[in-house]
Amino acid sequence: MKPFTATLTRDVLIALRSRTEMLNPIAFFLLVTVMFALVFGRDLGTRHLVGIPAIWTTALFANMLALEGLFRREHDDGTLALMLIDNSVTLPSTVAKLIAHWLLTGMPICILAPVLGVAFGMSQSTLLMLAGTLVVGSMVFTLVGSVCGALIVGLQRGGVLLTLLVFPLYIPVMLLGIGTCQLHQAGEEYTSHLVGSLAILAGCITAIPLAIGPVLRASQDQ
Amino acid sequence: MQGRELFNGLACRVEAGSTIEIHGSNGSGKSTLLRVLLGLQRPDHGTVTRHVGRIGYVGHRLGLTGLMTLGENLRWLGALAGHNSAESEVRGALERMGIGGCFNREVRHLSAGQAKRGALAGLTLSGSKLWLLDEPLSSLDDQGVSLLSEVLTSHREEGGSAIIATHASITDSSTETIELQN
Repeated sequence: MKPFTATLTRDVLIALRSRTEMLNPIAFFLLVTVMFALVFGRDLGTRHLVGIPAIWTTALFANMLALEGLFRREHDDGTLALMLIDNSVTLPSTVAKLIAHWLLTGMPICILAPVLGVAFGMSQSTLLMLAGTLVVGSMVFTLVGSVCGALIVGLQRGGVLLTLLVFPLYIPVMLLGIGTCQLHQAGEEYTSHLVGSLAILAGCITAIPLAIGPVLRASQDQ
Repeated sequence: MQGRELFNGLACRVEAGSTIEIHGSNGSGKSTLLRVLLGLQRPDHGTVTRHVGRIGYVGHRLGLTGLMTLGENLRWLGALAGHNSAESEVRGALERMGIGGCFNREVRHLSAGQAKRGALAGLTLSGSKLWLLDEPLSSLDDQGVSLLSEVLTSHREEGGSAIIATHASITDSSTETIELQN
């Protein structure tokens, strides 16, 4: 087995064995979104209005909940050092970790979002657009968040710092994603917003996997 | 390191089949020196030149994940080193370290000594020519120390080398020693 496949399999296996940790962000997303739907229960117009921003914002916070653990376990048990001492292993193993992280936190949210969107009275095409933009957005969240997670991995209780670092960086893709869905819902032209989100994703996919290794090494050098 | 000089004028060369022991009291910089050699920490001055491929490393943090069995951990370590370690091969490595029965046990349920032996078994699967060991004797009982000594001897006979940060000597008198002052 190659380092990429082995690390991807390993991370999925660990997540399945620590179910509470894996389910926390998903449960948070589910509960908060349902709460939004209940709070604006009677007025369909208001629900229609707040649905997309509520789901996007909750997805963002759910992702942040899972972020601190991205490299923490590996740092604590010493496996991170083993991934970093050989340059040829660092890239495939860290990319595998990012993919596993998205599969275990981003993807379930993208699947749940259109189901929960029904409670906000969204049309079928808006639900599909919501899921599609969340796929792009959650990938950006994972990629951008991974760099910040890598920066603070050596720090004890870096959670607050992580939130402060990550939050401003998440805002552009969140606003573009919300804008795309809202314009689509209103029947207006949304291509520029969608292209903007895709451009951010393309930039992140190109640059971030190469940056993670050096950032992790720098955070070890403390 | 944080305004404190740990060592200077340090120069050493690790030849194939040789072992270097780094001795020194607590806080003298043994672990830091190993991390510098591994490339995990940058020295303020000086260079480290590597002529080997992958380096095998067992540090204070053993590199084993508690939620995975010892067998799963060792197969992952093998995969990182580019080997597709068969179950029999992993079991063999564990038996060599006297813990063959721990193959299917999650690392979090192992004793510190068993986990240390497991990590050392992982080294033998890595195929690395150079091993860096940080306090390998800690948590090991007498049998563990003797098994480690055997594994190190056989590694050297196969042309491998090792740099060991330790309080107590584990190899023979021909071993080069670096003494770090606190």
